[in-house]
This record gives sequence, C-alpha cells and structure tokens, in this order.
Amino acid sequence: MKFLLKHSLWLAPLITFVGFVSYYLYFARFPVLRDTPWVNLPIVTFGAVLAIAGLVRGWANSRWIRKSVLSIGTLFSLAVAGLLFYYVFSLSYDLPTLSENTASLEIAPDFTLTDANGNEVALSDYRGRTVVISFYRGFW
Amino acid sequence: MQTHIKEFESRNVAVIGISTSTVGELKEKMLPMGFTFPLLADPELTVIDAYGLRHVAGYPMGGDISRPAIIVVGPTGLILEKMLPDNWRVRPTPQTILEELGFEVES
Repeated sequence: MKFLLKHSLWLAPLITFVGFVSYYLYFARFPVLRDTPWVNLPIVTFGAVLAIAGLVRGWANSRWIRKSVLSIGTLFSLAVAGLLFYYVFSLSYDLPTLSENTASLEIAPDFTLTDANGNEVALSDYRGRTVVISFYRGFW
Repeated sequence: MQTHIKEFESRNVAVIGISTSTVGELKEKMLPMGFTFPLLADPELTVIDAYGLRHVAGYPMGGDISRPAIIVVGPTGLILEKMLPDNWRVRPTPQTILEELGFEVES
C-alpha cells in the first residue's frame, strides 16, 4: 500500500485507465461482467481513491511542479472513473420509450433484405421454423 | 449469438440479425468476425420501422439506428416473444432466449 501511495502519481491514472479500457477490450465479452461491470467498476474506483490519497499525501512536501502533475493525474483518474460510471448507470439507458407499434404487433411483418453476402433473405423463407430476429445497434 | 448458434440450430431455431449497416459495411466489418447466420442490411430502417424499433439519433455520431431487440417469430408467422432491454449495454443472453422459448438449457 505504501508503494502504491508513493507512486500514485503515475500508478493511479494508469490503474484507472486500464480499468476503463479493459471493460471494452475484454470484460464486456462476458455477459455477467458486461451487464454489471463487477471487475471494472472496483478497479476505476480504486484508481480514483488512490489518486486522491496520493494527492493528499504528497501535497504538503511537494514543489509546484509535482503539485501540478499530481493535480492533473488526479483529475484524469476522476474523469475516467466518472466516465465509466456515467456510461454504466446513465448513458446506456438512453433508449426511447417502447413504441406502441412494437407493443401492439402480433403478426410479424414480412420483409426481404439483403445479407452480407448479397443474398436476398425473406422472413417468409423461414415459414415452418421458429426464427429469432436480433435487431442490433451496429458493428461499432 | 454466434457462439451459441449450434444450440439454436440443434433445436431447429433459425437466427437472423438486422441493423442499419449497409451490405458493404456488413461484408467488411462483420463477415471477418465469423458470423454464420444471415446479417441483414436495413440502412433505410424499413424493417426496423415496421417493428417500431427506430432509435432516433441513437448513433453517437448522429443518425438513427435500431434499438436492441429480440423478436421471436413462430412457425406460422405469429410473434412468440419480444425482448426489449431498457439498456443497450445489457442484452438478453442466448440462454435466456432459449429458456423463454421453453427449451431446457445447460448453464
């Protein structure tokens, strides 16, 4: 812990940053960790707390240059941690209310669309089978 | 979905995906990821609108997209299930979908 505090100047922003990007690059692949980021929220929280602790600890005996770097690092850590919390608890709930059209649908409207290979695919091609249609937001 | 596609196929359930991506984008971005079920292009949101799923300005860079939704259509064309998450980060898992359809699923 002493080591962490001593080097919080660069460790705290690093931990927070890794906690943030690893959600998208790795942990979001697992449904349980994607739905509630059990790994990433604690990591970014730890990074932010470490940044503040390091700032408080190092402030008194530091020259202005170290104070500036500590402040910037702490602001960075807080911003990155805040961003993940914002994304998880607010931004990802940004969806329109359920349309009446969707709610009242009973018979699936037929359609014909082109697939990635250029073939035409119609819903009616699947008559006699159950079809799961996954509407998704896109590849990005 | 792709990782569990066999569990759907073995129960004679077909899977298709629909988004606003164009055929070109699907070919370039999605095919290399190894999708084997049909990914359909609906850049004009015709089908997305027919199902009432347009999310106005849902694309972060501007533009309308589909909200995430799972619609299950039965053999006769009747809709069996509508799964509409209220959070686009949280999506129903393949296991949940199969269980909703009444299949037993090993967890």
